[in-house]
Amino acid sequence: MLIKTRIKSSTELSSYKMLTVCPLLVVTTTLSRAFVMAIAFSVTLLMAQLIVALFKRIIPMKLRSLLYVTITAFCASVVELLVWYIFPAAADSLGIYLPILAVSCIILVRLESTKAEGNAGSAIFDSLMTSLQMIIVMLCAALPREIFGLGKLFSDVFGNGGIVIFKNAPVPILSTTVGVLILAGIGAAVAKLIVKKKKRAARIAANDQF
Amino acid sequence: MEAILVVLAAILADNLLLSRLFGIESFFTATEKPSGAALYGGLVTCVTVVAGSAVLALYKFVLAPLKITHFVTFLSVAVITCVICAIQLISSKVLGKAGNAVESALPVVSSNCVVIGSILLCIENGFSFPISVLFLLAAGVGFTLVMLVFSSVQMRLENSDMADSFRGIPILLISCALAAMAFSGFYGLSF
Repeated sequence: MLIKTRIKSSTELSSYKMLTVCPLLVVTTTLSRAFVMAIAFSVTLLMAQLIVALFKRIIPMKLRSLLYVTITAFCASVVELLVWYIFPAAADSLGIYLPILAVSCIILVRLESTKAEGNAGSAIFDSLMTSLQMIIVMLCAALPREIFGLGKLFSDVFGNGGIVIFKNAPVPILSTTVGVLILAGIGAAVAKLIVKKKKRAARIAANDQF
Repeated sequence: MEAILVVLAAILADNLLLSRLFGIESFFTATEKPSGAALYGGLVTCVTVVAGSAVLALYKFVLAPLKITHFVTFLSVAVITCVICAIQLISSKVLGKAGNAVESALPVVSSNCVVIGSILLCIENGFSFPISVLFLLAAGVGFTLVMLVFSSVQMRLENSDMADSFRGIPILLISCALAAMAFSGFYGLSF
């Protein structure tokens, strides 16, 4: 329901994933911020998937998408409290983006697939794989943004301290929302290219077999 | 004066979609036709205003006196879900078959960041109740505006010539970056 019928192929799917990651990518101005956000995302996803996997028999089909949002919101609230307790500075700097995890599209899409097939074991595996991908994507976005947008490396959640690489940031626009969109656009194009090349290679390999 | 500034900022300079990327995933589902984009934007505005007013009232009279303001996220989502269920019931009763388009778009609205984001921003900024309602309305209108703009941008992009791997979402993201840059020109708007 969430991914409508417009996804025609896997190449489209890879770009759609990039689109859903976008609201989370806004916080990746520094590596540390991105890391805290990715961990918060992973814990929320794991909790929500476990709840859906355990109670999937009693979730009515008609109301499922609304229930998923409510379950995710509950998990996101718990994670928000945890982050405030463990990393208060990071929670302060993440601000409104932390509760926004409650309506994150990726989590909802993963919950849909858990309801469709998985049991608790496969739900844990699936959430770990998704979290790993998420951490990689967020760190990949944070690295150029921190180096070229701020001119530093390993600074704290507010962008202070750290190793100074450039005295004046060479591409300051990267640390704004516009930079996120440009990076995400290029990333989506590269992902599409890779998927397409893989498909072509698979087709050639299949032809060679005959 | 403050009201005008809040409304203008929410629609133009601090547009939730372009300045914070809330609800950007709806580019994929609802920007095929201008009519679809307008319907979706209208639904988002409606849900934002109704659910937002309810959440703000509950926050002031229940959560704040009991000192459990941390549960505002969960409360917001629960209220949004209730409002969406109510709209679903009303649209199927009042509109009949014409309500099908509304019903199919509604579940997606529940996962839209603009609705919950604008409610949480109201609380974070500490707006008074009338200003909050105006802000919620303006956030919805701003979202609808961008959706309408991008439904026509998407139509033009489909007919233009570009590298194959950029076709579809990637070029949409980059054109969104250009629009965000243009809208950030309104930043610092004052009277």
